[in-house]
Amino acid sequence: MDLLQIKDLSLHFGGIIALSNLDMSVREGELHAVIGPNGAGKTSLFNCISGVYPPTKGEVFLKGKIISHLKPYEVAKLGIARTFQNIELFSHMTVVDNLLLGCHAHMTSGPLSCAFFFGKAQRQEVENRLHVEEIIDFLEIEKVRKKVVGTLPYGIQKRVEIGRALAMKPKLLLLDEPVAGMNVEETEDIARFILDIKEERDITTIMVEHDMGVVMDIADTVTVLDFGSKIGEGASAAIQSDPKVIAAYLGQ
Amino acid sequence: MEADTIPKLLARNRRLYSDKVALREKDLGIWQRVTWKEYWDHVCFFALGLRQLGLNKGDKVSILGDNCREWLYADLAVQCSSAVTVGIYPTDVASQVKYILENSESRFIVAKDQEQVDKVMEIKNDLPGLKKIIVIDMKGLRRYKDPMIISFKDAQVLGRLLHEQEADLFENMVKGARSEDVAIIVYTSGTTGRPKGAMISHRNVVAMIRGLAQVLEFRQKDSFVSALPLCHIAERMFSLIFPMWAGCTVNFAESVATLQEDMSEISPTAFLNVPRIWEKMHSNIMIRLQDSIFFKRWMFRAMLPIGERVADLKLKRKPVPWFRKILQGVAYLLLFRPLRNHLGLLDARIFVSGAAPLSPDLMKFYHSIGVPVRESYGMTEMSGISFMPLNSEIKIGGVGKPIPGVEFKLAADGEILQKGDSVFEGYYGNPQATREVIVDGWLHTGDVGEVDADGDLRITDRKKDIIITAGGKNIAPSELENSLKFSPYVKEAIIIGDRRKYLSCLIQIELENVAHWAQNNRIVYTNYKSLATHPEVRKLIQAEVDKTNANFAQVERIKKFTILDKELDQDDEELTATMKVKRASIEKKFKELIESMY
Repeated sequence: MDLLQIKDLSLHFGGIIALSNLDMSVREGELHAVIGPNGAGKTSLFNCISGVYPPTKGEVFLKGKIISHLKPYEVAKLGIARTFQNIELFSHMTVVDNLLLGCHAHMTSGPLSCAFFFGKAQRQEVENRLHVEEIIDFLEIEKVRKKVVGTLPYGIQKRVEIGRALAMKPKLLLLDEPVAGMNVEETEDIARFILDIKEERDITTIMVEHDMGVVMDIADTVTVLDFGSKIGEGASAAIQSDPKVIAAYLGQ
Repeated sequence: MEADTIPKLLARNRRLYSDKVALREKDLGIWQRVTWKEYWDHVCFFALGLRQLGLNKGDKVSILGDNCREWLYADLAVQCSSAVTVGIYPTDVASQVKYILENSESRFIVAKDQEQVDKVMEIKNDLPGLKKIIVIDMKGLRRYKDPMIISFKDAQVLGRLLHEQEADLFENMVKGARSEDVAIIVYTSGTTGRPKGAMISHRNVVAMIRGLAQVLEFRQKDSFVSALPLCHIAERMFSLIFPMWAGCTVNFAESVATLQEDMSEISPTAFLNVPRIWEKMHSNIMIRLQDSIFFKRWMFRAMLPIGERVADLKLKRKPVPWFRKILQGVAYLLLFRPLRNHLGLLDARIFVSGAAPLSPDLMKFYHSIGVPVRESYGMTEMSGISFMPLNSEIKIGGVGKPIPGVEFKLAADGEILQKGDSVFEGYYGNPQATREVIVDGWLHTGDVGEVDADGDLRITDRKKDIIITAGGKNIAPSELENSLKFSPYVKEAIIIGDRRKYLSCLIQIELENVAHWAQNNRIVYTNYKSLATHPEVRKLIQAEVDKTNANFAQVERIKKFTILDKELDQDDEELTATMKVKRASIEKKFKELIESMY
């Protein structure tokens, strides 16, 4: 079954057409990559899915339920988590606190029990910490657990950001350029983690990425955007030989 | 039942200490405890699981991976089945793993995680004898559909089922282990040639620990942190043999990267490490000190001499006058206590350095801050440690007297010969090599030493490493090398000079510390190579070499040196798994570089 369905989606900023009549669907358990030249509308697509921009036209469905009119926090609660192209962590907080914040969307205790930290609030905090520790173990960031995020190297911060998204217990994970600006070793690590997220945690992932090596190695399906519309879609091998894609990316 | 094997000791501990903590491992940020009873159960289920999978008496089982609780469960389970454990360094590459699996004829391998399993998968088609790959951490392995792979937990489930059917089976297996059986095969790190598998029996191990326990006096309350690779005999002693003997607790760090922080949380009572780590801890202190505020630096400079003076008196066995005791007390509160706390050595009472000689300067430094580190002498072929000074007889440069049960003598050429029940049974599948090292019951160690007036042994160097210069002077390179390595900027030093006019030296800089120095001095560099070849760095190292030269006689001085423009690496056959340099291989590899200095 399709976890995410996008039907006839368009996004206009005045005269600028960021997305036009886009149709796309993501199967459950899939690792779906979205590629395209700069300005093709990849990040706009993410913003539409996560509720940052309401689409001008068209709908986004999560498990058959329409989500394109919802606020970002409502979308997050439904199980869509994302990372950002430029790291958007709370740089003065520790790694653990950043990850714990990811659990916040699912907390149900009221302000009173939270203020006095008893009953449900306490129970949930303990559960959250355990959940966060599992993610720390999964992403191998034990060493920096209590470090302030701003003092960490870029590659580790990227990893923490993925961790925060995982802390939201997502059904669908949106990764915006997860390996941008990384060296070969860091890239390999992250690619490994993305595969493990799919296989160990059964989370469906949509990834925007420019590193073709990574995309072709790990993605199940690739969607190619150019000027806001889809110009190709299919398995990574087929996409590589598609003349339209080659034209858009490499020029003729 | 007399406890003459390790499995019987485990059975005894389960009776004696049942609900006391045997192991701790930091998992998900919390120290998880395992009691002696649970320890026994884990071993029992895994041993029976192996039996279900077809393990027979005398079979070999290899364990490949970083230290963890399951490593010990597997090791003990194999020994309880009267089979033999073979430890493999987690840093070994696939070809080295293959050699050991082939050489030891292993039928099972216990691998820690995906990284290690991948190595085995690469070579398994060349190993027809290998039956099963048992994996401790299945993360990332779900796609592997190979029928040879089974998870550690599943193997334990198999064992549990068997245990429910035959409740006495495991206890009978434990009783069936004989003291003359080979318990473990330890592959020597092999600074020369291929590693050789030293067979060590229960009899050897028990003889060694019985002797050593009289020198170190372990208590049930002692706790250790497992830091060196478990396949090395030194860590095997601390993580397996000592706890079996005295019921001590073993702690496993969360990961290799968090070892230092986990150390200070546990604050172990005994700490054994190789000189490389003692050097590293010292240089970390020195570098951190440079970055600290003026007051702290002043404190350090003012307080350290107080400690030095007291350490000097103590080492000379002279009484410490009362006013020095007061000063020492002040220095302890202001400097030594926080320093030891930072290193995680606050509660420790036993500090041992082994595996290679420790520089005298370093030893003096640690004694000054109230960490009376002692040097021991041991080797795989002696089932661990054979010389250890008593607490009251620690000496700089000396390794003390043999432990009870070990005899020694010096051969005509100064080579140390040893005899006793802890001398190993022989190299596996290599009787020729065994005959070469054990002659008339005396183990030929290949180390040269001398005995001082108190009867304490002093190790000079490896017999084959002794340099005889063209002038006919015998020089022990390790003295010079250790003196150089005392500098925070020098990571590795290799003295060259056998049959040559003068001594020269290859130096590897300590990247972290030199990089730090370069930043402070506004020296621009991009990577290790550009730093190593920078003229200012050469000047820095020249100053360090000059400092060392000042302490040695004219013929023993280093005339020329070269800074290596690459880091020495185990994968490039330059270091052993225990980070000792492979001298012969390095001399061959950097031949042109060496020739250019003459």
